Amino acid sequence: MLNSSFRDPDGFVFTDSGIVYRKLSAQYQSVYEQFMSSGLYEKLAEKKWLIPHTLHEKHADNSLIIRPEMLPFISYPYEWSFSQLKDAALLTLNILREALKKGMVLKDASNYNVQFKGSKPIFIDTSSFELYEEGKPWVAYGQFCRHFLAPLALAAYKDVRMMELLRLHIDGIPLDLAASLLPLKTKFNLGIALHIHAHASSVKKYENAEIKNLNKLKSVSLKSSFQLIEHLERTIASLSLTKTKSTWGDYYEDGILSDAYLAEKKDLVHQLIAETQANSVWDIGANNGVFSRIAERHPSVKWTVAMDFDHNAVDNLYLSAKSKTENIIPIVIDLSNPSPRQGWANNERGALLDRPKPQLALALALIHHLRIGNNVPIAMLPDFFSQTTQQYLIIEMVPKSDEKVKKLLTLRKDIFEDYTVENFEKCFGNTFDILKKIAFTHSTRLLYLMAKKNE
Amino acid sequence: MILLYIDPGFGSLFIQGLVTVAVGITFYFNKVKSVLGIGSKNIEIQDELNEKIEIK
Repeated sequence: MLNSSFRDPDGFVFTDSGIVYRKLSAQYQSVYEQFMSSGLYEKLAEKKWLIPHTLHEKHADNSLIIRPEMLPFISYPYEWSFSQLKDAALLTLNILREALKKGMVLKDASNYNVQFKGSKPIFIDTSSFELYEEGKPWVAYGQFCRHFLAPLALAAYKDVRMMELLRLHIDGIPLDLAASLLPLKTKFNLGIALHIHAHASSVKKYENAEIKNLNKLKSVSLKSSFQLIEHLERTIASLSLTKTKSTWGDYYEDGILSDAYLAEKKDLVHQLIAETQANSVWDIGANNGVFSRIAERHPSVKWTVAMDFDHNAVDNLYLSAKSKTENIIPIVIDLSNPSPRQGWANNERGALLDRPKPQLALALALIHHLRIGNNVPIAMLPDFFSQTTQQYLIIEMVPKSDEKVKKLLTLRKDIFEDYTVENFEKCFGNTFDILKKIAFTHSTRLLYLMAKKNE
Repeated sequence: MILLYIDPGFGSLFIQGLVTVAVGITFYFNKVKSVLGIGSKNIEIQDELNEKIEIK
């Protein structure tokens, strides 16, 4: 069983010989049949909202094994940008609406039920559906508000970095915490006032309620459920980020050394990717994704992950990749503190470096930030980068003579004696074979193609 | 007894009844407004004002 798949008694995910399967329990069989025969599955799969699957095995005890389409890379909500989480929220509500039309409902509304297939969100939990009972409130309403609305509202009204709270609270941001952090003006926004402020007060009021009080629950009609969905949709759709100009979001427009350097770099990176014939790429420190796009367009490349710590840069890349239906998964990653293993037994959600590796990693204009910005010694970098790729690494060395490095050192004492081209090559040469070394014509920077040494 | 896969929280279930009433009222008002054409009338008035400003 996958470590992330133990909570739902109706179905769990496991792998066998590298293939992912989902086992549906015997008691879930009638629900699954309704899901399939009602046309709901067909509709959701046709719209590409739900991961498609095939029936793999039917057992005598009525349990089933289905084989969902596999995704090459799994990302987590605490790694998504604002617009990614917003699209995942709207997808969840769309699916809930379609389910209600077919007499079914979502029994949970976890943001972990959504993944990104390229730049498009897709629902992956086929056993999240159950039969709708007339008048019963939506049991996942609280979870939806914690997992989606609270982080989006905090990002929109307070600071986009508030979304990082999702890493700490894996069952969503507690509503009382969200309510206390949101500014006063949100109490005058009907959507936020109802779904977060009033909701948080109700949770607090009833936290010690006795089970006999369940009889006092107000019935919620089907029509009201549709109105609730639409209201949540409007509330979420109205949220937007106030984007400040960021260094990395506009790096290749404003911050780059020269147009000639950029043109030459694009050309060289394109050529080196072609030499590797890699089928998958991580662009580490991708900024707004100029080089992720070059990788994505290469015929051999099947999937590309673009990572950067700048929320605005990742959000801009996501929105533009989505509009062009590019096969790029952008994620927010701080390399000085990448996503660790976490959740139950430290094993429910994988660390970044435990996930499927690409055949090629790009580390362009990055190592001076790791060495001088984050004080990571050069000798520690090869081991890190060897964990980001199965085979190839294209890495750019930005020497001390470069004006960007000079700027980094303006207010700092130069304690970076190890930061030399010679030492860089010596340290990386222990872990990688240096296949190519190219000097830029319009800069003192160097570009390397390396391959991991056979262990 | 209701057995649920996730804990919905009493507060979330209790508030949902009230939330849907409030949401229903806003939908009712929006419908009345659209029947009376209040929203669109405001836009028409604004357009007229903008035209007058441009003429001046």
